[in-house]
Amino acid sequence: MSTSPKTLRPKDLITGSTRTSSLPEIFVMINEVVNDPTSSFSDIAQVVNLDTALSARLLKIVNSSFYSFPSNIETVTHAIAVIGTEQLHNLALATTIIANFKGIPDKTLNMNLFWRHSMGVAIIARNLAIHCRESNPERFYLAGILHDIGRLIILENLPDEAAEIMARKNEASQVLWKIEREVLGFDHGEVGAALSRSWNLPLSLEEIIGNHHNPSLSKRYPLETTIIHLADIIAKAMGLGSSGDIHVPPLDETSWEQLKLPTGVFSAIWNQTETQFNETVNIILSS
Amino acid sequence: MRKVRIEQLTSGMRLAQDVINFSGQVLLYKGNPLQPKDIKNFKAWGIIEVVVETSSLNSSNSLDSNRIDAKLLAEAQNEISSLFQYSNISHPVISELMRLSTLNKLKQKPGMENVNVY
Repeated sequence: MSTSPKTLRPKDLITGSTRTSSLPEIFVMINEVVNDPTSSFSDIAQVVNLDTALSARLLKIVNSSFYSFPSNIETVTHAIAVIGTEQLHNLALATTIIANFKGIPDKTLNMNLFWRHSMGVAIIARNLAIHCRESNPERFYLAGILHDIGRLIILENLPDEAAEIMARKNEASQVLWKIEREVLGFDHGEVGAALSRSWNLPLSLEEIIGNHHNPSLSKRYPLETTIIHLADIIAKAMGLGSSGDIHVPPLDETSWEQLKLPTGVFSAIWNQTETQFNETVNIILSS
Repeated sequence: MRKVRIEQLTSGMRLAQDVINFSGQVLLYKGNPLQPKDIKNFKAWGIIEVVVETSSLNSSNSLDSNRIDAKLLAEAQNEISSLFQYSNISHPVISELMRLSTLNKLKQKPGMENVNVY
């Protein structure tokens, strides 16, 4: 890239890369069929089934301890009927994205650990959302999968700067996203938000991803952002994977109070997450 | 009065406050001694903690850190301390996560697999 990093904007990283400049094709197709009011469950299932790896994974997730349905769900049509169109849509995007980012060199960042961290945050956020009685908990799963995606985009497009950031992190005792701001002028949250915008994902996702380290900056979706912020903290405390920085990030105490959750939920969420995490990691990260 | 986590409840403890579910329905009125079926019922409703009379607590229900080897506990606490170096450790969220994280580390130590302290 010819421009110096200091004048780069997060948007430039997105448009400069073929991996991120457009949504995976299968997802565009799913989007279209889901947004078409005349589509039936079987129309949607037909599109999902075009990608056999995707549909096989979705069925495994729907049959896992995530849902604990009493009987086996064998077809995508049945899965949509029991979990809902919007929910399946979110699960499908989460699954597609991980596949889309395969093949990033993992010298600087261990990709398996990176996705384990993202999945940990996704599962914890989903469980927190259920405890907060939020609708459609799968949108939190998707937000968790995407929350650190900016880090991968920085790594792929600015490998030198990414290496410098990691080197500085080892010297200074400072959280990674603050070092990113020193070196690049922006952090991975802003890059992820730019990706979400260019893919035309819901505005809530853009705000959640962009502010997950500073939930009090979220004006429209403060609760959603705080759930991801907290899930990130819990995932680090549980030691699930690593996004390049194993330290528990500082908690935004004011935002936490808005959630109105008792701290007693953490042990329940911890136990729930352990079971679901081991199961889901096997489904999603095995290729 | 003391808040007691659902996992720590034992039958015979007496409620100091009504236990209500999320829709406001009373599951058990205060003053009642707990029976095993009540605890099961609370779990089914997803109750996390209840308030009981301090006088009805017996000593075996206090945090049982003396049953755990002090050396192993110190080791586990030491292992997690760097993890939380950027956190405000006096905040209730962080202290609860540190407690769970310590227990988790403790479980990974030989002979401690079945430790079950809440």
